[in-house]
Amino acid sequence: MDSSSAWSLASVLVGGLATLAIFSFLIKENAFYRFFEHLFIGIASGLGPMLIVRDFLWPNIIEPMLGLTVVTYPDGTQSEPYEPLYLLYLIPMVFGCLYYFIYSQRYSWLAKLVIGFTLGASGALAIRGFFAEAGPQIASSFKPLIVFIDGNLSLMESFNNALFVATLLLVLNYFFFTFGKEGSLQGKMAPLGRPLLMVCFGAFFGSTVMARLALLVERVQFVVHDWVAAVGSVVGLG
Amino acid sequence: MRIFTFLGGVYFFLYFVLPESAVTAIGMKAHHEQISNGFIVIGAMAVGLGIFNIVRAHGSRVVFQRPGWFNSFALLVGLAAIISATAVQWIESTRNSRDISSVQVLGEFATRITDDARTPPTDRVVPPLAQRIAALVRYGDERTELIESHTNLSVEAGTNGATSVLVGEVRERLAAARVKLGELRAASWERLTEDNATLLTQFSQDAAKLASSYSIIKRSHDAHSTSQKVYDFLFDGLFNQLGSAMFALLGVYIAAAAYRAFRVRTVESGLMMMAAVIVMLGQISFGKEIYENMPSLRQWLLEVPNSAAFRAIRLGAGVAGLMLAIRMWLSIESKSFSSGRK
Amino acid sequence: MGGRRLIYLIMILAVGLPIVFGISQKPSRLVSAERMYDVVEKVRMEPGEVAMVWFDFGPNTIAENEPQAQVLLEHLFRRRIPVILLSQYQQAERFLTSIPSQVAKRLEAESPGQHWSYGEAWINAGFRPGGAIFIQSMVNAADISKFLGRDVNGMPISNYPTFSSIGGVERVKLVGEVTGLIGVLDNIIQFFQKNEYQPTIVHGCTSITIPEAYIFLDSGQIKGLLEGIAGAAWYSEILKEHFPQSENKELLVTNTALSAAHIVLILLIVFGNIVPFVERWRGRNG
Repeated sequence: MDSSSAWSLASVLVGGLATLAIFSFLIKENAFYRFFEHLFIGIASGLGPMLIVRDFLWPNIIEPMLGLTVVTYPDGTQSEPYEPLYLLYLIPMVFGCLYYFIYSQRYSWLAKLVIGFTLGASGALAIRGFFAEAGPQIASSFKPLIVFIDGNLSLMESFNNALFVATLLLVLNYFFFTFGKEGSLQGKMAPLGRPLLMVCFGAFFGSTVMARLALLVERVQFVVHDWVAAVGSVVGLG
Repeated sequence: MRIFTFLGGVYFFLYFVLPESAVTAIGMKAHHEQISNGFIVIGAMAVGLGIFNIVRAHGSRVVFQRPGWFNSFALLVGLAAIISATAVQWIESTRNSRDISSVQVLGEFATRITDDARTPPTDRVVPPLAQRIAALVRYGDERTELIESHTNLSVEAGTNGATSVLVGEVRERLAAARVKLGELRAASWERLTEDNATLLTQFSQDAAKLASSYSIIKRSHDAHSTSQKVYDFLFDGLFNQLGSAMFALLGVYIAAAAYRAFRVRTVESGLMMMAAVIVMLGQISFGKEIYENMPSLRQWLLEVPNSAAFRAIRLGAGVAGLMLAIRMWLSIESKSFSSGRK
Repeated sequence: MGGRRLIYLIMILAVGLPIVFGISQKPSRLVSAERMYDVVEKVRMEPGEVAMVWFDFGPNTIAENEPQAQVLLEHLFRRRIPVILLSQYQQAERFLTSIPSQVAKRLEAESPGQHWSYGEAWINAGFRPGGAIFIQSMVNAADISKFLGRDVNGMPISNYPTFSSIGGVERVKLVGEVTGLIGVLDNIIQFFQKNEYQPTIVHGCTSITIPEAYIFLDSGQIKGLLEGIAGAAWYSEILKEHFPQSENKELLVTNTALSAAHIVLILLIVFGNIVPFVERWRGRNG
């Protein structure tokens, strides 16, 4: 067996063991489960930061700043002159480092500056995001209540559109808490939104079930096919 | 404090609301990529916070051997292992990138020589054409030798079908590049003639193709390096499997919850169950065996009542989000946030 | 406690038996997947134009997103549409490498003499952090190849002839988003647009986000949808109809196991409602 196959085999064997360890939780919480659970958290917390440094900070920020993107040709000339403006990246870098003052009781206000700045940027992006997303949503909600297809009245389409518009309005009305009194028409209509919401939640539940079961299927497939075969090959070798 | 929050949002707000001509005129468009990167950098600098917190919390548990210290130790081992494996793999990968870049330079340099000869630069001094070509040929000879030795190493390390196709491609392109290098050496470079320019362009294209094939073979060779295998093992053998298994647990829990908690006691819960059952039956293979139009019924349910109700929820939440975003940006609701040190 | 474990066991058996015996059934017909097939089938590409597919999923949703990514790529590869792969989510980084290679390998095995090679059929631009900020910045770039810079191999994207001069975002004729994450599709819908340009977006979602995805399908903000494994399975059936050599047995077995689990779950809901009723009735009648 070459080294590549050995590593792949080890990967499947350990993967199956890890899966069984997690599934052992179904019987009872146990040390085997807790060990692998902690191992997972450790790996997950290290992976993200490393990839941010590797795939963003280094190639997009540090390399241009240090001039490492400038190529020196064999005759000593350079592909482009060094751009000192890249040094301006030091400003957001230093500013971003203020996050770490969160640990200092005395200087934690510095961390709040950068948190505030980030919140401000997210806020502005969210404003633009809302209009870009909600515009077509609102436009497509204005559906014709009487639909003609090839010159003939389509009862089904008309019913669907009417139901769509009614559901939308009734559910929107259900969530109006700021005004409207119990005696008003708006107040009287509010309970009608509930059953429609329940239909939506039912669809949501049905879909959620599918998502969760899909994960289970994938794991069982891995254990039954890959892991059992890997264990078989090891036992066979032994 | 409030001014920082406002400043954080003002750039993107202006970029989105100003007409494109204005954005271009004041130079925002030209530097938009770099400014956007600057915003990402601010968030990216916080990457160490999570690691710092974890090491602090679990490190102290290990050091003082508090209950559960062994699990904390496992967590720290996982953290250290993935950081080291990614770092080593990254260092090797960077080294290889440099190696690949040194081959890419061939094609780029040839193009640059042609460009400079056609339109002599005014902002920098360049050596005479013949001298540049001599440097190109010398460098080309060095690089082609290096590629050949690396390709031979790959063959010695063992090849499968896919790799042997790649090796064949690299060798073919290497031969083509060498022929062109020979022609470059033989030609006269007193000045740039049309024939010479064509030769340089052809060499540049051949060199770019060679670099791209070489990069693939080099990377596929590196995929078998120990550092890559350790990284793959941690990702495929542990992280991927544990992540999937954790979430797969929910699959069995949802079954137990469905049995114990999904009770139809009111008309509304009845409606909810009916919708759930239609959606479930409509998307599975056996659904149409039970009722032929089950998939269509599901489709209708999702397209009409579900979409309308969900859209109402989204629009409501969206408006609330918009208000929150405006209040956040303008620090209207920032009392608790900026109330000073405690 | 014992009853709960019995339910776990029944569920695992319901899932396991079709897998062990390799039972496969024809998947349910999903119109949204058919719509997506038509969109991918009809998209017309001029030289230099590309499709951009985002893989934004990790191990937690790989069960549903991986088959979707595979069928979408298979269709794009079969149509020889050049694809730029990238991700907003760091955990997807490995799948950007493994999935296209697997699909290409399978297609090459199916069609001897034909090749789908890296750099021509697809490039991997890797993980790109920043979410919305990154996307709006890319959309405003004059040339996407230059903006993306290098691929995961460290090669300038402009060195690959197929992707050498894409130009502005208008040249991205199809955008695919395969994800189970909240907010990631929103980033694309909200920011992947510019002036007159509105991309054709197709979406592979996990089942949990199906109800939400339908509102975008209705508004036309997405043109096609793959709904969980069932969506991928039906898409693979359509592919098989057009390309009979396409292999989808494993996916159909997965979908059948999923269907069996659904049946068990529905029965559990029914029993869960009947058993207390019977117990109450028995209690009342001594």
